Amino acid sequence: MDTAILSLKNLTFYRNEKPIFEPITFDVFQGDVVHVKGKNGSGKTTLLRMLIGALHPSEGNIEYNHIDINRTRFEYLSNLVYVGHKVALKSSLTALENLAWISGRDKKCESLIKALEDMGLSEKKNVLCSELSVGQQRKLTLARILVSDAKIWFLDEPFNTLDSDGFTLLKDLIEAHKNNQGIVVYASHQNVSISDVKTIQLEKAIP
Amino acid sequence: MIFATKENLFISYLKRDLVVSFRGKSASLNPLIFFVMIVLLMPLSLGSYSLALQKVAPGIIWIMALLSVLLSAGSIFDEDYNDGSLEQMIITPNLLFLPLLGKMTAHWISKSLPIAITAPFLGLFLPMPENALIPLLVGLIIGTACFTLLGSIGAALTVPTKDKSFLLALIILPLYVPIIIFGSSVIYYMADGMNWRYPLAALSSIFCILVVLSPLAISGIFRSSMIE
Amino acid sequence: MQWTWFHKFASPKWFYQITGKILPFLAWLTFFLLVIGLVLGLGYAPADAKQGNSFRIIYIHVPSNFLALAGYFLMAIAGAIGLIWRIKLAFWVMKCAAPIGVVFTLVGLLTGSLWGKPTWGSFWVWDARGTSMLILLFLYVGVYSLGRSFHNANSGEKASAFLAIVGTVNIPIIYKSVDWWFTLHQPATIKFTSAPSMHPDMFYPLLIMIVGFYLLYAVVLMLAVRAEILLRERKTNWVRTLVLK
Repeated sequence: MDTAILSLKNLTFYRNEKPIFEPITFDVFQGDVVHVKGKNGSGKTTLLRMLIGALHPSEGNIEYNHIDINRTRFEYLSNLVYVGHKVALKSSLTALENLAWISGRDKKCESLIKALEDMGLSEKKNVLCSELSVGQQRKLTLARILVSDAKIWFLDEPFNTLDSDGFTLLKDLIEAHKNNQGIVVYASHQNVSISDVKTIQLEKAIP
Repeated sequence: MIFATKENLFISYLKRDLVVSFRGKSASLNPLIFFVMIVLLMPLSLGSYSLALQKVAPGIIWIMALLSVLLSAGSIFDEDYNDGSLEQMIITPNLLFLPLLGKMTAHWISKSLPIAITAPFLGLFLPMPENALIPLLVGLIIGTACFTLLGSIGAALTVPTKDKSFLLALIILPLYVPIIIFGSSVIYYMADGMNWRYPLAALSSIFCILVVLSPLAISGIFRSSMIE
Repeated sequence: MQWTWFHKFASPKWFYQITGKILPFLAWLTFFLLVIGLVLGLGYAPADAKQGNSFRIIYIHVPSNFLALAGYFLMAIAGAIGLIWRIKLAFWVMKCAAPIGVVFTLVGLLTGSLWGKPTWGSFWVWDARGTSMLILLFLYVGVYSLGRSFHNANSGEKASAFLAIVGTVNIPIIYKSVDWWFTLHQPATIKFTSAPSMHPDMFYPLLIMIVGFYLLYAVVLMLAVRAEILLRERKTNWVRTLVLK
């Protein structure tokens, strides 16, 4: 089916009364992988935060299934998962406890253990997050994607701090989700070789 | 997305924050120690004239409790803001009312309740008349709950700012005035032989209003995309 | 809500043009009212039976207090409009109203002190109204400081708006609790001359001064908002042509 799941219309954000990038109009369909490209400071994180509804756009709007996301907030937010720059993990909770918390499942749930295994973290499940390395923390925070059944993934610089195993793992996850008619929108200044990637290039706003 | 599918949202946030705060570093006890020290130092500046001390003791305990709670009130959202959990909470599809209430309750239990419970014991030192100790305890329990509820609104408003203790105090103190008035009146009524349940009722009604309005205000603040 | 007629009021350019037209008229009216009020009040109103001539300071004290309170509500309403309908102009009005409100509150407090000394012997008397005014001052200062402590001006405006609204909800509660406290602890030995029972010759100048102060507030606020508009819209064409003219 070819109706756009997510539509951006003339979207931009103002900082100090100036738009930080040229307004974007873009449609995202099922099975799309979208790579948001731009230099450091060009507004990739800001764009993602607008897309997840955490920031109100200064201009333009975003539609989910052709309804503005502010009107269909509950459905939209229930269908997305966001992994941001910061890991959103509590350092005084164990890996398993953190994963249980951020995916809303009970600690004893089978899917949590499996997700940790898939990420290569199963021996660390009862280790406090403060004792995990940065790369392990990032793998842990990405593990929630495996547990959730959200259709749309928003990932902000997900490949940062991952070792080569983690890198391949994440790439495979994205490809698999794409083949399952899911949507992945990720921001990265790196170039990752995933097939059939659409691009949003953030351009500096012309004054 | 953070939502507990089977458990009550209030309880799950309450439990998580309590676990985090009790497993965390020893910062949890500082407000209590601060409170004990400044109350015990108070007679030094007032002179040890027993009678004067007896009269002002309840008021001073209230103000010191207020200061101690105020100093820790600003930190309720700090850790979440710094590690990215606050962001996740803001994009939760569910209403933020119960999660916020859970967080504030956990914060109150770990930071303010110890102060409320220690106060009557300190009262014995000052010395306060013994029949005033129970009103002091009850008043402080409800009063510190009100302080936490109001202080969290201030914390939500100042989340991105640095060095926030004084700013927070500045914006929240005027709003604390009714709580201080009714709270200390509970004891003064007792001392003057009047029924101390009247100001206690007023204090409780303020608490009821705050329990409903504070989480609503904070969820409005968070959803208004103030935090970049 | 998408009512376009309403959004016309939200245009800074429209505001600038309209205020440009009515300001001279308003300013003169304010000037006249204040002069008349002061002359009548200071010169022609009869001296008070108990307080002699020192009561005359109420011609500044009472209007200042009125405006301090009204100004806070205006600030909060402007903030609420800005938050609900996302109108920038409303936030700018709120932002300008804060320091103006501080000044009016301070004037009210200082004139109250000056009145207190000859009348009751001390510069400050702890009573319900005075204490509430003092707390109002703190509320204003809080809103102002909060707005200024954000790097991002927009976040600061939103935070101030929220605080102003929370403060508004609290003002009646604060006033009532302070009032209750003071009726308890200081049986009313001190009474202000309440307006309706004043001699008409004392009352009419007061009325004129109150209206004059309202207009003064409006004039000052408009001037401040106009300056803010020029600052914030400095990159738009209409401001550039205006300034370069």
